[in-house]
Amino acid sequence: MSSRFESHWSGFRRLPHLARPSGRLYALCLESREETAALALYLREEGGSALLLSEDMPLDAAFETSLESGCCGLVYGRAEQFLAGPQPQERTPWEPSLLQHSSGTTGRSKLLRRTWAEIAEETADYNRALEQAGAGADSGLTTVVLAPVSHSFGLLCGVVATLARGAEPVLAPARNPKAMLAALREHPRHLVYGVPLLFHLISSLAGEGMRFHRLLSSGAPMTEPLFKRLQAQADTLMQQYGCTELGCVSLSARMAGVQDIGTELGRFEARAGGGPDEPAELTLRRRGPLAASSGEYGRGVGASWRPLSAAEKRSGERRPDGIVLPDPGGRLPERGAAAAQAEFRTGDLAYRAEDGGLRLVARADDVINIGGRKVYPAAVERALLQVAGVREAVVYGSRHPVMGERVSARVVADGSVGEEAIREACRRLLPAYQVPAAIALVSSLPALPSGKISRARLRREEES
Amino acid sequence: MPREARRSGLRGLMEQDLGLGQLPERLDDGLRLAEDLGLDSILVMQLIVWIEVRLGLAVPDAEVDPRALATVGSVLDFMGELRPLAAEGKG
Repeated sequence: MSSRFESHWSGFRRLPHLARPSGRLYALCLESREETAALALYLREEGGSALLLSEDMPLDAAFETSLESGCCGLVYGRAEQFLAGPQPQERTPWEPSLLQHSSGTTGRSKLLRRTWAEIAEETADYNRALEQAGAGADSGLTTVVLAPVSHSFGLLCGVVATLARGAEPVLAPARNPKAMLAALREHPRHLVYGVPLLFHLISSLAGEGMRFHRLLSSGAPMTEPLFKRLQAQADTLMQQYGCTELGCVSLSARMAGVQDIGTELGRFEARAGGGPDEPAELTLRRRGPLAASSGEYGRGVGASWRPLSAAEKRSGERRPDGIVLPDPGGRLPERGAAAAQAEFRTGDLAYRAEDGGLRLVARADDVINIGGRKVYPAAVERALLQVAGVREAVVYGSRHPVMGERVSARVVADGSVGEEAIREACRRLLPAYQVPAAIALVSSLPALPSGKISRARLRREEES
Repeated sequence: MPREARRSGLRGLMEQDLGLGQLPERLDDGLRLAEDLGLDSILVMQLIVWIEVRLGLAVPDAEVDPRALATVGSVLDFMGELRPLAAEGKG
C-alpha cells in the first residue's frame, strides 16, 4: 500500500542527515503534523528509531532532551533542519523503535520505548477491536485526527492503524479549532481522534446545524457536562484507554458514561474490581503473542542491530550515551516467558460492569483517605458540577496536620455562588466525609498539555 | 471594533476566560503570548474560541498562521480582520 506520506520520503532520502537512518535514533520536533507522521513512518521503513517530542517544545529544551535520550540529533521545525548531537553516527543497541516520554500525570515523565514490531502487533490488535466496534475497514468512515501526532494516540491509533486498514487519515489543522470543525464538516462520516479538551473546544464552536458522527476520546476522562453535551451533538461517543507502555488497552464502542473504557483488546487479560463499590487497581496480563499480518510495517523490523551483551541484558539496557535504562524492552515475548507473564499495574482503579466492560474510577494515587474511608475525586467533582453556577471543578487530597488528609477542591464558578454556598450544596449531595473541606474559587484549572489535570501536582504545589 | 477596544476585549478574555493572573498593566503590542504572557498552545486554542464566542468575531475556517498568534500586536491585527458573527451567519 502506498500512502500520501510516502511521497515525502524521496525528499528525506536527499537530505544528508536523513539519507541513512538505519540503526540511529532521531528526536522529532516538527511544525507540520503531516511531516511528523511522514518522517516517523520513513524511519520505521528504513530501520531507524524516532523519539517524538511535543511540537511546541522550545529549541533549547528539545535539543537537551534529545541529547539526554541518546539521540544522534534533533530534527527541528522542518525536516531540513538538523542539529547533530556529539555522536551523530552512534547506533542504537536495540531494535528500531518508537520512543516517547510518558505523560507525567503521576510524577516525572519517563522515557519509554516500544519496537516497531511490537507496534505492528498492537496495531493489528487495535484494528480488530475497531472492526468489532463497527468502525473497521469496511465501515466507510474517514479517520480525522485532531489529537497531536507527537503522541501515540494520534500517531499510532490515528495514523498508523488507519494506514494499516488501507485508508488515508485526515490530519486536521493543529492550531485553529474552527478549522478542525471545518475538517469534520468536510468529512461527515468521520471517526475523530481527540482528547476531551479538544472536543470541548469544537463543541463550544459548533453551531446548530453541526452534527458529529463518531467521536473517539482518550487521554483523560470527560467531565459529566461535556459528556452530556457531546451525547446530544454526536451519533456515537467512543472511548479508549491506554498508556505509553502498552499502547491502546481497551475500547468502548459506545460509551455508557464517562467511566466506560470498554473491554480489553485481544492481547490483554484485565483484572479489576467486582463492582462500583469495590474498585481495584486495573492490572493487565498479556495473552500469548499475536502475530501481526505481514506488510503492516517497514523493513525496520528486520534491520540489523547489535544484540545486547549478556551484561546489558542483566542490567537493563545500555543507551548510546552509556546510561542504563531499566528494562524498557522487557515485555517482548521473545525475551522469555517470564516477561510475557508479568502483570502490568496501571495505577488506575477500575471495576468490571455487568455488561462486561471496564469502568475507570480514579487514579489509585488520587484516592483520598479520610479516616480510613475512601473518597474518589470524580464522585465529588460530579456533585460539584451539579451546583448551579459551577463551571469546572477538580478535587484532590491535600495533607492536613491533624486530619492526615482532607478533601480539597478548586472550582471555576460564574460569580453567582461563593465557597460557602457550594459547600452547603455539596452537603445535600454527598456524605459528610466527602464534602470538600477547602474550596478555592479560581478562574481556570491548570491542565497538562494532554488536557489532563494532574491532581498529584496540585497536591505537591500545596505542600511546597 | 477599534484597536483599543480589541485590546481591552483581549485583556478581558485573558483575565476572565483564560484565568491569567498578573498581566502587565498595559498589554503592549510587543508582548509575546508564549514567552511573556505564559500562554501554551492549549490556551491559544481556547483564546481563539473565546474570540468568536465572547467577542462575536467570526474566526475563519482555515488554519491560522502561527505568526498571527505570536504577539499581542499580531493577535490584535488578526482580530481586526474578522467580521462580526452575525454578518457571517451561524454555523
